[in-house]
Amino acid sequence: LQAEHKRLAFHIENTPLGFIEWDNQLHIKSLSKQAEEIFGWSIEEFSENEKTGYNQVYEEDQPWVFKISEQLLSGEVERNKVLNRNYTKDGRVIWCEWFNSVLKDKDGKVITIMSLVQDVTERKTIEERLAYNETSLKEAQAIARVGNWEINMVRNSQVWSDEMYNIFGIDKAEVTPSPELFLSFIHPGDSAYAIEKVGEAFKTLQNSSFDFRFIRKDGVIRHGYSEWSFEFDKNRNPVRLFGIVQDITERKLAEMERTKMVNELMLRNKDLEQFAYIISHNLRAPVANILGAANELKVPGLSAEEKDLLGQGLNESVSRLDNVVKDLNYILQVKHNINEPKEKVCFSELVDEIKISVKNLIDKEHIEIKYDFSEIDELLTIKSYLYSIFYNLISNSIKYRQQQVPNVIEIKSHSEKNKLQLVFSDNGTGIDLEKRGDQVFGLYKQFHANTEGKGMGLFMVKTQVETLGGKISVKSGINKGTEFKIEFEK
Amino acid sequence: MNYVRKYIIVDDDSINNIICSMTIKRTLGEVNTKTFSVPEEGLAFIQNEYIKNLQPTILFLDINMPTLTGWEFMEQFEKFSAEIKNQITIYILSSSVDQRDKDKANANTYIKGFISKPLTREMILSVAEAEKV
Repeated sequence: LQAEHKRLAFHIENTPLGFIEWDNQLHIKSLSKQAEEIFGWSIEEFSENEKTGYNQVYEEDQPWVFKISEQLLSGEVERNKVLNRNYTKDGRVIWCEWFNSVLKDKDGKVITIMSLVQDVTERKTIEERLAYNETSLKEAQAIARVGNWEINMVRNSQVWSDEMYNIFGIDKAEVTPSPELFLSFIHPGDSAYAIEKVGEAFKTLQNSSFDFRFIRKDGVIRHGYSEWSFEFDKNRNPVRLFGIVQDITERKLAEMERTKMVNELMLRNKDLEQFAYIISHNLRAPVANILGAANELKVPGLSAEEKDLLGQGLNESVSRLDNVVKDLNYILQVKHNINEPKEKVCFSELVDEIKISVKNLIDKEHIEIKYDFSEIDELLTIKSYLYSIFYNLISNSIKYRQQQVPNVIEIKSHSEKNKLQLVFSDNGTGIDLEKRGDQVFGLYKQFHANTEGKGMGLFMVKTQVETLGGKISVKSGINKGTEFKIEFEK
Repeated sequence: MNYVRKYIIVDDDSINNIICSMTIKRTLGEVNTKTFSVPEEGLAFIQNEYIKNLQPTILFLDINMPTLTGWEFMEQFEKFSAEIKNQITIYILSSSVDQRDKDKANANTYIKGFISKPLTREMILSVAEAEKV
């Protein structure tokens, strides 16, 4: 028995666990060398602490530790495992894991409590740091809207971070992560591309990335970005595929908006340049004539007839100059008059009004004006602008009609999601868009000799459509008629 | 060496055509000046007349015209026979002060020079001197 005892004592002295024995009043009875090393106090010092009332349990943990101790002393609990903080002699707070067990006599009365204790501060610190890192990562992912995923290519298993589920708006408990699950959220328009990208990745084992649209579980369309990289073992076999998915909707939308704005600005700028060029040319032309005529008038010995001719030239040039200035004024006014009140304008009424004002001409030339506004017949807009747009397009179709064929002008409206389309088509002489396409809406641009008009009509139509926030485009060919398409936001 | 006696003006601005004809006549005396306010008619005239009757000619060409621009006129002109082209010296006469138009004129082999309107007596004389035959 003594040999047994010796062996056990040897064993206790050589484990990293400290050994402490208490009596049924929780007075210390024995303390192993290891326990002394953990706490720094000798058994005498422990007893001293008991007398002075100094407790080695960290204050915050005292209430529940005392409760558990009571359970042991009363014999209610025979053994337990406790993790709490204790003080050391040099004032440090350490995490201790206690394995306590109760020894009872044959009557069931508690004689002694034996405790094995281990300093687990290091483990605890690592655990805390890990938990902190995990929380930080989660928070960072939520803020950045980045989820990560990982495929173990040996075991063929896949893990998604919580943010992955948030991005797709799904419940973690309801799904099993897989490439198929990911692909099931891809927008149908990008799905073929995404499948190809993913298939290619597994085939070539190349790190890659791509942008895509996806549809969240709640039906909202968002923009995403995914990037991944492979990890290989020493034999170049893929073992792990690690990737991220980011919701880049806000950035993407801002980017798209910016591109749209830049394109519009560039177009506007080109229009303005063209406008300045035309205006300068049309101001310069009569000025050059006035200069030329004035020079000629200085020459002595002009006949009365010649003087007359030059005077006439001067007069005409001055009124041309005046007209250009008036046109300019009118154009600038239209561009600024956007503050006029908007009202509900009925297309069919508008066309009927115009039909009356050109009645003589359409009756004489047998021109038919048909319209179909069954899809949508109303728009909240500036009436005078819309009238002028309709009037100019209709009068253009009348002006450039083909001879020897019955002339038909058709106007239709189409209603789309948040857009309204107006289509004006005729079977007139048409415009050679290949040659002059860029000039159709240009100021003072004419395509036909010997017709009235001065190349203001389509320029004004475009200006007014754009002032109302719309867009106009044209399709045409020589003797193939002309179709103007106007698009407004509803 | 003599001054060229034949002049053609192609410009949709008829007032310009009247003033230019007068200025040419006053500067060079009785010369033959034809004006066309529709460029297509000018091309047709050259094609029909110059087959029978080749004669050294100076042509003043406008750029901004509604049915056919000066540049499009040049495209048609280039298709004429070498004999016709050799007889006709073309100067752009435009109210444009745009450098891009000047550069485009300079780049064209068949355009001899670029004159900004109005066409003055001094300009006519210097062209006539340069093109003596």
